[in-house]
Amino acid sequence: MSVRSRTRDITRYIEDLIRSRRPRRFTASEDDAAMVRAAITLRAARPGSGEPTDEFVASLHRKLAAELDPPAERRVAAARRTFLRAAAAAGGAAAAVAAGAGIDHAVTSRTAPGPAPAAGGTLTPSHGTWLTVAYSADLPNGAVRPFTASAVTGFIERADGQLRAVSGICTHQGCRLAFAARSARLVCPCHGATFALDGTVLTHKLPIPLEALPRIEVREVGGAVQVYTPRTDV
Amino acid sequence: MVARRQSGPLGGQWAGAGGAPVTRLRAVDSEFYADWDAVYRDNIGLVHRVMFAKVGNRPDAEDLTTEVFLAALRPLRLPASVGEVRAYLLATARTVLARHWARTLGRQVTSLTEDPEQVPASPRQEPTTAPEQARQILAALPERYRQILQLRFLEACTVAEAAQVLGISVANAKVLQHRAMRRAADVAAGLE
Repeated sequence: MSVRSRTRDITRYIEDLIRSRRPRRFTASEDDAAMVRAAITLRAARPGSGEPTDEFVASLHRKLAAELDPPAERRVAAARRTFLRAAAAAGGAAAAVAAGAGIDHAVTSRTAPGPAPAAGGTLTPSHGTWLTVAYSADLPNGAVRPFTASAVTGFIERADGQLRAVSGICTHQGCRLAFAARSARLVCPCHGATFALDGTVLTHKLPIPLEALPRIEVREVGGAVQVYTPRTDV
Repeated sequence: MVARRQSGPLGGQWAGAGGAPVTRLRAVDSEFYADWDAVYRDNIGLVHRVMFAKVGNRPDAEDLTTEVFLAALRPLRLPASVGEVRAYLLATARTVLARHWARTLGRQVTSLTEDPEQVPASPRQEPTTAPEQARQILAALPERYRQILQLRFLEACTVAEAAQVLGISVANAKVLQHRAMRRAADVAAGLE
């Protein structure tokens, strides 16, 4: 690397420190390291600069609560039970509709999928069927509901009027995810991995790459919210 | 803001966020944290200050502070004493900081000491010697060097503002600052 570009790297790094921007990484020489060290000492001496902002303290608290607080998970579990009773009551009628109307996967237009996650894809069972798992009225805009339908368990969200559903099983070792309402993310009780409601991986501490959650197709028919799941009668 | 209880039965009075303790507790040697929330509220400032003093910028200090609490809190067995918890947090911070330098500049630019004497006993106590060291570095520099660094680092001036104060061009201010930084690095190395 030329002397000039090395000077540029260290100069930019120090400028970032002064302005409290995230400094860009580069391969530092011992001389560079000595300058950065002196710059950090000077920068940290600016009065009050080391105090965390209230915003940061609050946001990290929310993040930790989502990962560590058992009460949040218990509330979700309770909500799931209430919801499932409602879904079970609705289930019989929905199954009749699905069979009687002869809804065909190949010709039915489905809810447009959201942006594709990094991995995970969409659940595509060889023999699938639409199963009602909620009533539209139970899913106002912004709501998130857990669901269990035949072989699949997951979460449905309505955001900006659009429905989307993802698997509720961690892609690491298959533990059932909990919905942390405060941070609006899915949290794995086994190793603390977290996923966004579109299935993308947010955080994890695993030494291996973690796949995104599979998306599940979801649609609304006559006031019923349905997901495309494997048929268990074949 | 410190939530503590005397050693004794659980269920004592606790402070809320940012509030004073509900009942004034006597300071005792055996202070315990009962839950992660108490650990967090009592130590978030400490960990952030320590990290800021070692990386000198807010985005990195926030990321590393987050990393420390995410890694440290889950395996923590509570209740545990304030001293134990703080030593554990700082040990975690030491590892997190070393990893940060390995992946950003490839050199251990700064490190956290293992000397327990240097571990701050109270979150209010200044966690580093930065201001004193900064004073010593600045005092050892020629006048113009001292001025440009003072303006930029301590008074948060832009290059243009510093140039104006010093009555020189922006280009000259940049050159002056770079030379001053080199000299400051030499002085700092001599202080260690």
